Amino acid sequence: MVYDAIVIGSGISGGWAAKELCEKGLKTLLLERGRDVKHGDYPTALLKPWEFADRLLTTQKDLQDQPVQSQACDPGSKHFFVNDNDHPYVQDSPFAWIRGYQVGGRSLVWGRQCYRWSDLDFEANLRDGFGVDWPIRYKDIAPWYTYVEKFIGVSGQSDGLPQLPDGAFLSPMQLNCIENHLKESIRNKNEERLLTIARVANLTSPIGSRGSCLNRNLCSRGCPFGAYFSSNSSTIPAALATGNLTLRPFSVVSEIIYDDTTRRAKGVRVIDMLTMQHYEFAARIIFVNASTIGSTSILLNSKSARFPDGLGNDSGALGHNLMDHHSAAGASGQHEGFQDSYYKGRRPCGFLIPRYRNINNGDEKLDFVRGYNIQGDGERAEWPDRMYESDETGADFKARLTTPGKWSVWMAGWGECLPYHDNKVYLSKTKKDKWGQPLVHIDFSFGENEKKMMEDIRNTCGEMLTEAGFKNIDTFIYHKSGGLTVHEMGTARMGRDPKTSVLNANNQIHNVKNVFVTDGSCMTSSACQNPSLTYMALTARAAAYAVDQLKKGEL
Amino acid sequence: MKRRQIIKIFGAAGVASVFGFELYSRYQAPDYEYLKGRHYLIAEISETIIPATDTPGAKEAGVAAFVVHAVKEILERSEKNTFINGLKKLEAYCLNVYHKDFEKCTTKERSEALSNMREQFPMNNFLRKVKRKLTGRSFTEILRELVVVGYCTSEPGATRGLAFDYIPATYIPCTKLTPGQKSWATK
Ligand SMILES: Cc1cc2nc3c(=O)[nH]c(=O)nc-3n(C[C@H](O)[C@H](O)[C@H](O)COP(=O)(O)OP(=O)(O)OC[C@H]3O[C@@H](n4cnc5c(N)ncnc54)[C@H](O)[C@@H]3O)c2cc1C
Ligand code: SF4
Repeated sequence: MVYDAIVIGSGISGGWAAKELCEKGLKTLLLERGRDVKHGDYPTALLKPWEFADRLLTTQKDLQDQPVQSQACDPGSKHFFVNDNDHPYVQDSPFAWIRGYQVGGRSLVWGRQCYRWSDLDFEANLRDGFGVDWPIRYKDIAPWYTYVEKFIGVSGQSDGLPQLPDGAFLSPMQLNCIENHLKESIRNKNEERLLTIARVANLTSPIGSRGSCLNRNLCSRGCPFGAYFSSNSSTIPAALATGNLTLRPFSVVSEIIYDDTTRRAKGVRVIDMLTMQHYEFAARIIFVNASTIGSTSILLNSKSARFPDGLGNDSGALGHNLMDHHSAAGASGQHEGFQDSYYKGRRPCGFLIPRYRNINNGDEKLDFVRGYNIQGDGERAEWPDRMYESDETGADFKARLTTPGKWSVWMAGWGECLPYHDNKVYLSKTKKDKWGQPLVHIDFSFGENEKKMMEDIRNTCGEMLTEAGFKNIDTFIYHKSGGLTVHEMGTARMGRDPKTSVLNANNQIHNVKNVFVTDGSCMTSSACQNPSLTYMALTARAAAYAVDQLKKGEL
Repeated sequence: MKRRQIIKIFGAAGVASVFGFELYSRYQAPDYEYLKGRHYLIAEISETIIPATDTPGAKEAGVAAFVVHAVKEILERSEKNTFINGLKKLEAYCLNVYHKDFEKCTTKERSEALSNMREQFPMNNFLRKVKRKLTGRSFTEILRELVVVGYCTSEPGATRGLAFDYIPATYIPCTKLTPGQKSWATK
């Protein structure tokens, strides 16, 4: 049978592709390499700390099984991250490739921060010459942001900032005492800086059968109430409800099959993970949503007479310009005040200080281009911190351990990473995984611009805390490898020119028009905002375009 | 430094002489037989650190069982040995100085014995990280962390020693602290 559409990958972007295509009437096959995870199938979601044998500490066995993933998960969420031994890759330089291979992908464990881009971001490459120009602008994507936000549910505060456009928000979460204090102090010293509550895909009022967030801050275990956005709770049920979706788990897509006569892709080749059987599935259009590095690997592996270097790789750009945000620099400090105040509940997010550097055409004469935003949170010291305050024993120690200590704030800069040709992924010629697929090499490092930006983050964070009367300020630049912000993007970029880019303004491969790539691999620059909202908006936009083209007989 | 690197530089035989018995002993096979027999000792030590007051202490919270489990499953090999060797030293200290076992000692003697075990324990976050990188955590540090985690994540510790709010429903950003209010058990 020929499907109308195939979607590869069921994570944040693939779930959206499936929902949109199914809702528009296309018979859609959703291929997912991992196991099925039904909404509600979250074994640790309701466990109490003492119900974990290891009390939420990472064991030596965990470190053996997940040497890379354990940097991003804990025993409450580790089953939603891959076993690194089963899914190896080659690190030419240290790069943490954090993955979730299951239905829902990393939508189950993501941090849910949702920020729009602005033209400051879409015009950046054109303005300073790093990378190629984006083929779209804010006005092209703005209605799709709104469309996505309304469906997923984003709580947030409208702030009226040009560099961080407001969205269609549910009521915001609330700042606590120390965060409000820091906000006031920043506003008084620096009027172009604003501290605001994070914008997150956690519901503050119900949407359909999805309930309001109950403030448990255990989201990475899966939410039984559907109170944050995941493919499992939201897009996949919507796609299934149309009757048009066929979901096939345990299906590793190895390549996209190109037909030289029609000059289109005719389908995909799949390896059944359990039986090792090979299958081919045919469709009129294909959406590639296997996550940045996953999608690019599939394209690189799809070789034909017409495309010997990978599907759609006329430009040679495929695999290049890998980016990830850096989030290694920042500051923390303690405050002596507000000793009689506390909070109740566990808000599943922190605060945001939107970008304040290089927003006015570089008037500030900084030694780096682009910018960063600050993410952080304020809380009182509780037992995990207080155990280090003294080395006494007995009742005094216990009293200290079990009562709230000083307020503290930790914050760090999420910084833009420039697109560098040398930061790349490519396939091994010799090494293969269990399924006979070539291993991916990742070669990535941050450049001078990122390093200078980290210095500036450390300084401005330290200043803001000092000015707000914090003590014991620790300003830091951690040595974190790429990948650890888990915003890997680029490697199959959009652009205006087929000679320097892989995808056009509608996420179509320039010379293979029935293949759409709408996950992070399409990104032409990285901005500094958490990127998934943009992947979703681009996916919904491309799906509408694809269906329109199909109807017109153009595809 | 990882064992493999040490061997690469000095050859296996040279290790002990260069780094002394202290460092070498970190890499031995951990003495689980001994550990298994010291459940009662760990229970007494943890109760000394977190005693029963108007709320449960470490014994009632079953901390010793967790500590034994954690030494086996969670600590890396050098820290397992640091911990087990630390316990042995603590026992020897009590016999030498007080001429009795730890569990027979008075509260004051127990505290003294524990603080005698204290190696340099930098309070500063940064220094602590540096020291950890170089030598791994000290016995005192491992002991305190495991006892505290074992207590604060146990049912008696979390629900009665601290305040456990299973499903908070709402987030109230600023409340007035009431006298004697416990801190939240989970973040
Ligand atoms: C701890 C954590 C916190 C994060 N916080 C945020 C945040 O706050 N905000 C934000 O914007 N982003 C955040 N992210 C990043 C976010 O999760 C990703 O950007 C997002 O999931 C990417 O969506 P995707 O559809 O491209 O990929 P994924 O969600 O990773 O889904 C890809 C899917 O494709 C499947 N797949 C891969 N290869 C194949 C193949 N060959 N055949 C078939 N299927 C395949 C995978 O199994 C997976 O299910 C976070 C990530 C992590 C891990
Ligand atoms: S904090 Fe809210 S969204 Fe997260 S798991 Fe709990 S109820 Fe669900």
